[in-house]
Amino acid sequence: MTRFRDAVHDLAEQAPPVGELAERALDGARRKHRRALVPAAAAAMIAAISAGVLLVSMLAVPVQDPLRDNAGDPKITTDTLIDIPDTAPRLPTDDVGAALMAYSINCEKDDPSEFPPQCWRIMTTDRKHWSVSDAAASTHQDPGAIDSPVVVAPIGDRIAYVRPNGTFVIRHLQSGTVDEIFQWTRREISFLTISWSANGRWIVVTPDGGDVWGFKEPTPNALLVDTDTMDTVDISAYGRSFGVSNSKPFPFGFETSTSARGIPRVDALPVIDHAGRQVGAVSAKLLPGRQRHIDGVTGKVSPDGRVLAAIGTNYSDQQDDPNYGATALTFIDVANNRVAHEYFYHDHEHTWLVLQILGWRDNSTLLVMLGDRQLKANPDPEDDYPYEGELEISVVGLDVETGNRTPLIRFSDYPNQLSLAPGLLDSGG
Amino acid sequence: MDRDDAFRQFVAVRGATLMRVAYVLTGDSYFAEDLLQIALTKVAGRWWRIRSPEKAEAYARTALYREYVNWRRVKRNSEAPTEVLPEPAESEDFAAEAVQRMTIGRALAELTRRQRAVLILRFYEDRSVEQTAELLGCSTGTVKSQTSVALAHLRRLGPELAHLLSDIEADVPVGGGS
Repeated sequence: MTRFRDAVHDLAEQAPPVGELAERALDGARRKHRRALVPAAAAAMIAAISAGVLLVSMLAVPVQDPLRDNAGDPKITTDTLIDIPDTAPRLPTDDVGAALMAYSINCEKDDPSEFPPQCWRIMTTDRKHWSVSDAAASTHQDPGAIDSPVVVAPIGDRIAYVRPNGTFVIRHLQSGTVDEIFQWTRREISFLTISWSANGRWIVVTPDGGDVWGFKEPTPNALLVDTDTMDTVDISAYGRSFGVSNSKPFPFGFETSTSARGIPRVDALPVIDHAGRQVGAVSAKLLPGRQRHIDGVTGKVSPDGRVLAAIGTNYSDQQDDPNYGATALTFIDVANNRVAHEYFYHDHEHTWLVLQILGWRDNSTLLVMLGDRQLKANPDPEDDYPYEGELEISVVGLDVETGNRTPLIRFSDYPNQLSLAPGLLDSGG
Repeated sequence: MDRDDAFRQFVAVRGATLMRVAYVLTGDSYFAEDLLQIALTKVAGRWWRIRSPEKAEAYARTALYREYVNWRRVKRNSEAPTEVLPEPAESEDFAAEAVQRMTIGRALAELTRRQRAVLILRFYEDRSVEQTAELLGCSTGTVKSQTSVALAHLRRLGPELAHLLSDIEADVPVGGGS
């Protein structure tokens, strides 16, 4: 349902282009300067003196990184319990500090509907929870239709998300200002993937529209955003996002072909640079479970662009494989087109495994959500599909070389979607 | 990069955002261009002192809003005030969106400039009462009262507007304006 804010934002989209305003403003300023040269010179002198005083006073104040505490320690070290409150106040435009995480939960805890409305929040490093009320989310009117995330920048200074009207924005948490980056249609934002590079400069965004896995057609208006300049690069041709590296070329998405039986399959993952040019490819044979069909494969590229971590189900050709049917976490060496490491995780008799890649803490540590969901007998006698019960889940740091896991975060109540600021987490090593 | 190039780059990066603010304030493309040009001329004249893009944007916004509130050249927005608002939108098609834009545009044109500036700052730019007061150079009490009066006026204009306003009523209790 459209509201006042949306209506005004929609009206704003009718604004004319900026055109030659910069040149006209410079001309106007020069004319004004010539008319008032003497007062301006006096003002310049005063300003220069003021600037000097300001500089001296700034030098006297020790520089403090607001995102770290005084000792420079990460805000989360190991096995920290985070309480998720039932309610949270609306995110103000005042400085709220850095966000450790963004998450979505059911707006009303006991909502019995199949697709309960979702509410997006952030938690700042002082453990305060704030509601991001202008982020798109599923509602009663539009159940399950919008599943686009609020994603925290690596050091928690910004969040990126899409508004219900399709405007993709970056909100600066310390200044309260909002940069509007791009406008999608409402249909395109149904399933949006947003990833920050580890250095916080780049964002890659892929709206998958109604086609969740996006392999049938190139996704519309996939963007690479340079947040230094707010320039955007259209990378729609390359499919679906696996994240973005700091500076090196990175594997992006799916390049598909169709088999003789008409089944879409993956041939390669294009490797593209930050100008949106394809400079290589990763063989799809390296994907988890050696799948040539891609449903369910998700992944994230490492900060240096050298490794792609991907999750999928191991449906290899050999059914006597002891890991057949297990969840595979595969680390693909992008430059050398080979599998560097691979780990398998099995469901237990009465639990389902939950494994989700959250991002990279650094080039050697992957952050994952890992846990088990209890399975119960379905109360409906007509339905023998297991009934999903309690969820036990935590965020762990996973060492790429060894597969060793270090618990980082547990939750009092489990978020439906989660984004973390990796720069505020210890590596767990 | 010399000073002028830095200013040109600032306008290239942030100009569109500022133009959107100018447009929702004035409701007219030509007036929006004029208003933004005046604000940018002030920024260009002080660029040597402003230097950083963040400060430039803050300065440009302040200039934009204050110039708009005090603008003497334009007596009224271009929209013709009307007692009867367009029919409410029933679906999300283009025609309905166009009608809605007309509805909101005409409704905003019914307000005084200060009221319109307060609403745009509060509910388009998501500024707090305190930030709005600081940017407009008035008291927080003035911001609250102007917000309350503006919303009451919009509610009186028609049921379609009352419906649109329901998302901000939680922030601004009727008659409260806080």
